[in-house]
Amino acid sequence: MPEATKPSWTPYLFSLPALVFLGLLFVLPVASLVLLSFSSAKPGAGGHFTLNVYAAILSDRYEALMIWRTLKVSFVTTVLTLLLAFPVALYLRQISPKARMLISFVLISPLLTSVVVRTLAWVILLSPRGLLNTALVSLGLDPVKLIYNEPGVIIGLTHVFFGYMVLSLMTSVLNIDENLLLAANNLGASNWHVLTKVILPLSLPGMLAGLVLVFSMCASTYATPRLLGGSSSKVLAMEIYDLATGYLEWNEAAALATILFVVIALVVWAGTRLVESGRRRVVFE
Amino acid sequence: MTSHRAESPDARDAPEMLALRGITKSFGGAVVVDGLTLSIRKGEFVSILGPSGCGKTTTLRIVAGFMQPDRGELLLGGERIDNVPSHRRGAAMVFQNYALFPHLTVFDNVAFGPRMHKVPKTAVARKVEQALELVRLPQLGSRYPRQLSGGQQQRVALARAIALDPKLLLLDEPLSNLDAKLRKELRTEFLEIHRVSGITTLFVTHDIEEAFSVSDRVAVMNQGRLEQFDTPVAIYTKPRTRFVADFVGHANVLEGPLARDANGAPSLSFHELQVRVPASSAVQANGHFAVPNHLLSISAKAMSSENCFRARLVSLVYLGATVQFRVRIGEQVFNGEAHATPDLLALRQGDDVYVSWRSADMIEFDAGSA
Repeated sequence: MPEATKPSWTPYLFSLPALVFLGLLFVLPVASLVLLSFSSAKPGAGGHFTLNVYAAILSDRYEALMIWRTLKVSFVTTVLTLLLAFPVALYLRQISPKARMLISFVLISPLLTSVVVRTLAWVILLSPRGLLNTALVSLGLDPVKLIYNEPGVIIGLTHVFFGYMVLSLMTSVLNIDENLLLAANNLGASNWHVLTKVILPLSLPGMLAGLVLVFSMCASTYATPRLLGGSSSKVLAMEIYDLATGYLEWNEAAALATILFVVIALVVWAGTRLVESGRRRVVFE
Repeated sequence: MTSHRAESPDARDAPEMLALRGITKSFGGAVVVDGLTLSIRKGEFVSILGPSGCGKTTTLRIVAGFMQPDRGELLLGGERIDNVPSHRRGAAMVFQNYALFPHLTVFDNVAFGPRMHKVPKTAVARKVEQALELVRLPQLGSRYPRQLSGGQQQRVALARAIALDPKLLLLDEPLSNLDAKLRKELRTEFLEIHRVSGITTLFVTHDIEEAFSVSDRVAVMNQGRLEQFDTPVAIYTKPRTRFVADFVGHANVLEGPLARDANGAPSLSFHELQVRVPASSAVQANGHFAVPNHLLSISAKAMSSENCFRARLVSLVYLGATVQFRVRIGEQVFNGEAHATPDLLALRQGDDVYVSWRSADMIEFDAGSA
């Protein structure tokens, strides 16, 4: 059939609006940002190719610490959301579809409000004279410092991204055939082994999606660390913002943004590889 | 293939392996299994046969330990197992949808049980090898379940269950997701594996042919109760209840008062028909008999045998080797099945025919329960 082999332009035609949209509003700005980080001059002022900006950043202990802290906070938050969300996903398996719908709505409903609103709620709870400390003091206990530092940022971020982790896990955990668990049990697996040898490996795709999603969002988040963090817990997104809008150091901001992008991409890639190669080892060894 | 299976020679006097005593289970007020009592001998192949919703799968799940009965006792090898968790019962289950672990290779699937029981590594490999050989899939150890056909997956599921040398093998409609040809192939393999391994087997199915072809004995269930527990031949030729007669396909049921005719032979009045019944039948006010479809003869000419009636051909369905026909004798409809001879194929709908059956072929049953 000669007609069938004739190339058709229709699919491209239909995707043209999306291509133009993404090209103009995503690829172009990102490309110009990356170019700017390699330029010796301010935007629009010409300049030549240079690695000086990167050299300056990477030799600056302050900036290196910032990168390290961003990764650390993101990693801890991601692990915490996973640890908190996994039992919830398992619980959602056990209950009736009706109850499941209700509870998942309750879990996901915070995602419908703005991050700023949710974070401000934490300020009210955790601030030095907030609800928590007032309660502690009135009970005769010492107040705790859980705001304007790293724990504060981690608490806030864990809450903000918990829903995303539950959503990601649900897709995998709810799809596990009940008969598989019965079969494992019937073949001699204790509840612990059913969890580790069957449920966990079969949840890996959802877990991986959740880890990648939450980690990358954590690493680039701005509002929560700004509101709950202090000067000692500044993260990359805040630094980039300050450099660009406060100090007008556009080239440095662009370079830091590029570094953030590469670091996230690397971590996501490494995480994916690790989980995939660990798939079998998780099961029997 | 024969229509039934000869009972294993040593099964008749083997000791009891599994006993269900008054097992009862209800879900939200609906009684699904109702006082079920069943005793299965060591090495026996027993089917639980019944329509969907009769409680057969629930029974199997109770035996497997996936759910607790509300009442009743469960004994395996003489020991109470009601409170023994599934993973320590030694009753291995093969699921309808196979339930193979998708993230594990065939080898690891079969090795799952032995590994969970802390069998040493070399012994695990040997057990897996033996099990895969028994189901004739020795080459596929490194494949994943999704790379196998339905029949192969079924065999792996079977291998996984027998790798543990269970005391009891539980099969939950294991053939229902396969096509007809594969189904027949696999059920002969089940028999072969049962012969080789000698594992006591409980097989749940709604398919009469399947149950009859593999089982030493068949337990027919209806609405949570046991209707009859006997050999396939006895189930077919001596159905105890109306339900069993219906379920095994006895469509031609004759019901009426019995009397002795001039020669002293018992005869049944069924509407306007006088039907000669087996000589051994007791005279009673209301008897129930069935004429098996395949023992009904049909001919264009009158036959000289007993119970020969004039009839009108209602329909004739050609099935290749056989034809299924439906005739009306007076107002009563009878169903039959016969070899597709040229004489039969020459018949047309609405033709006048003669239908007959031997009184000795008639099956008497108790119509106690509807």
